[in-house]
Amino acid sequence: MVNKKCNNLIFDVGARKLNISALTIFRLSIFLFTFCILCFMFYDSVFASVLYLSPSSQKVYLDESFIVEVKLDTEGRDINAVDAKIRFPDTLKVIDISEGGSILRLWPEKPVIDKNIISFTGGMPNGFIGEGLILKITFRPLKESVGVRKVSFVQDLSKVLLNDGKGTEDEVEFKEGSYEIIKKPQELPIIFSETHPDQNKWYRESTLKLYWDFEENALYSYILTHNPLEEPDDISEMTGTELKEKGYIEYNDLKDGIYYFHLKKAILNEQKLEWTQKTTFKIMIDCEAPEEFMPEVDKSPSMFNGQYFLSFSTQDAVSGLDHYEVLEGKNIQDNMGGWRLATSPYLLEDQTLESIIKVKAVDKAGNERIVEVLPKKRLSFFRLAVLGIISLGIFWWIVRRFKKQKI
Amino acid sequence: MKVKIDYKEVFLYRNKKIIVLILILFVFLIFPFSQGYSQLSQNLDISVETIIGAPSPPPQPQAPQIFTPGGIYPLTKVIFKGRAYPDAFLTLLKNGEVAGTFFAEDSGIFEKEISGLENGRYSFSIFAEDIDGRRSPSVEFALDILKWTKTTISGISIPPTISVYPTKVERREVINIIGYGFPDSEIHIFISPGQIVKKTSVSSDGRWNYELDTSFLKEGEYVLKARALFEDGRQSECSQILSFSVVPSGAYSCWGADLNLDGRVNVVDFSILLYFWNNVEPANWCADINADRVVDVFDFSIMMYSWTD
Repeated sequence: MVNKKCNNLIFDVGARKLNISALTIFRLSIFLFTFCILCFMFYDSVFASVLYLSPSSQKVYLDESFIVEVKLDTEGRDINAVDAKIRFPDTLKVIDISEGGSILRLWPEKPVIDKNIISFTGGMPNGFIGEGLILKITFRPLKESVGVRKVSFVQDLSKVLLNDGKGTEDEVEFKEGSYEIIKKPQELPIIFSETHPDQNKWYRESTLKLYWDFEENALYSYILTHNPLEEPDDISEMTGTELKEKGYIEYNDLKDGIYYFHLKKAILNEQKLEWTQKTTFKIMIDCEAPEEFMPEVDKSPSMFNGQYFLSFSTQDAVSGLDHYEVLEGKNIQDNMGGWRLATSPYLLEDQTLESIIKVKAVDKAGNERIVEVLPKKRLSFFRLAVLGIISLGIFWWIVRRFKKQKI
Repeated sequence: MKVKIDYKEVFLYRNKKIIVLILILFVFLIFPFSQGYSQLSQNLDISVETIIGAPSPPPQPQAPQIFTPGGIYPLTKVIFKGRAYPDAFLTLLKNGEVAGTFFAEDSGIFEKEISGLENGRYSFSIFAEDIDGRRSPSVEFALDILKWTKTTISGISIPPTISVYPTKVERREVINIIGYGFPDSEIHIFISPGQIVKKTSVSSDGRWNYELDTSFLKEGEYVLKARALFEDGRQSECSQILSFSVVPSGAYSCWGADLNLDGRVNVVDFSILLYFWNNVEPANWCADINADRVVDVFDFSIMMYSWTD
């Protein structure tokens, strides 16, 4: 109901009436309009893609390696390419860079290191919306280098591109990581593994056996987790059924992935349990071969002087691809040696296309996927023989039938 | 009786000594004392000064010297002056070997001095590289050098650089002709067959470009070159000779990210893109999907958008 005399609006809200002046409504309208304009102006920056490092902070012992994941959150935008540079300090050394499990499926430039900067360019066909892993970087602090170490993106040289068919750059927010390197306390238990001895190596073994230097008068709390920051609780595990014997634990049928076995020790001191800081043992398991793929043979006048080349690409969901190898041979059973390290595009040795081509993709755990390409020109003797027999059989049947009908 | 006086003859008779001196001076100005220069491909200005202190040559006016603990030793110098392009990287060769490298000023002017030459005949050549990495043809000349002289060669004009992109187009498409030259000079582009001449000018930063509309060209192979014309009327030698082709409509075209024209955008096209990765003006210009002259992440992004399998 509008009270025209007073230029006020009177609303019936239940049993109450709200008397709002026209001036108030005008002011409210202006405010809402301005707010909408501001939202529109800052929409892009508020909802820009985010390139970040995970964990964003961590305490790391001096003699231990740690993994930093490079991640992308598209904030609802459709992204199809990332071109980035990551800077790290002199006091850290890169042990490994893994593309395993990355949302980027094709890499025009695989990660390389040059003067403390990791550079890479990768993309995902048909785009990606959401949050996902790009890379896993394993760092190790250099000796005697305690302190806070920052790892960050080189912002003016890093970009994220929209899946719009035009190569448009998206607004990007960058978040760096901060890692505190500290000396390892001496009283911590020492953990080692019979099945996965090297913490920086991938293993094709799903049974994990862990040992630590057990002390009779000590209590232990531990946890096996995918989270590097998780802490065991302050409850002793000594009564658990997992322990085969003191200072030894076994896990069976573990799924692929990176695990952290966190362990801490407690000693009774004046009837009070004192728990130490945790110590961690990292385990990396990958039992799965790289994904299926189909190489293709082609030629282009502008490449390799028009000679035939092989194109191939696949991914590994866990540890990441290590390398490809190619074997060309005329004998289908020929798999003894002759494998050559290869990258795509690969110039074929046999330009007559009469050889069988095998491509092997090997991941960082040593799992292999071998695929075979039969060039179009090649027909095996066996297939020719089968075709010949069938053709003869058909011909004989036709002749016989003809004779019968003639009679 | 009237006497007709020829005042010219009178003037010549009375001033014959002065006239003779003027003529001698004139001869020395036109043909300066120098020991030979030949085979000049441009209109170069060469002057020679002889340096004092030499044991055998006749005494001459003051010349550059260096002072050492053992005494005064005169230098034999050759100075090269001329026009190139702003911040061009120039290489000077002496008898086929690099005698020096240097940069032109941001005005395009350059000057380079070499010294310590012995008596003899020398072949010099200079070429330039523009800031995009294109190289010009060399300007060559031979000089007979006398010891203890300073020879200045000025007026050297480095030919413009040139590039063509793309090198194969369908009729009615545009070819970009670009390069570098001396600022504010005029570039004449010669296209044959057809004796076609197109003109454009060089900007203050040395860059020049011309968009050639091929609508008026018949299908076939063409060659082109460019020459710079300066404000003082001089001109440079010709640039590198390049070629391009005009093909019938539909005969050759790029299909976006489908680089191998098989109707799919897949790992084969990705391989082709990788082959030309980071190439500037790639041989397969279809790999430069967004036509910005370089194969980079922007082309890759367009390919990812168009991916079929």
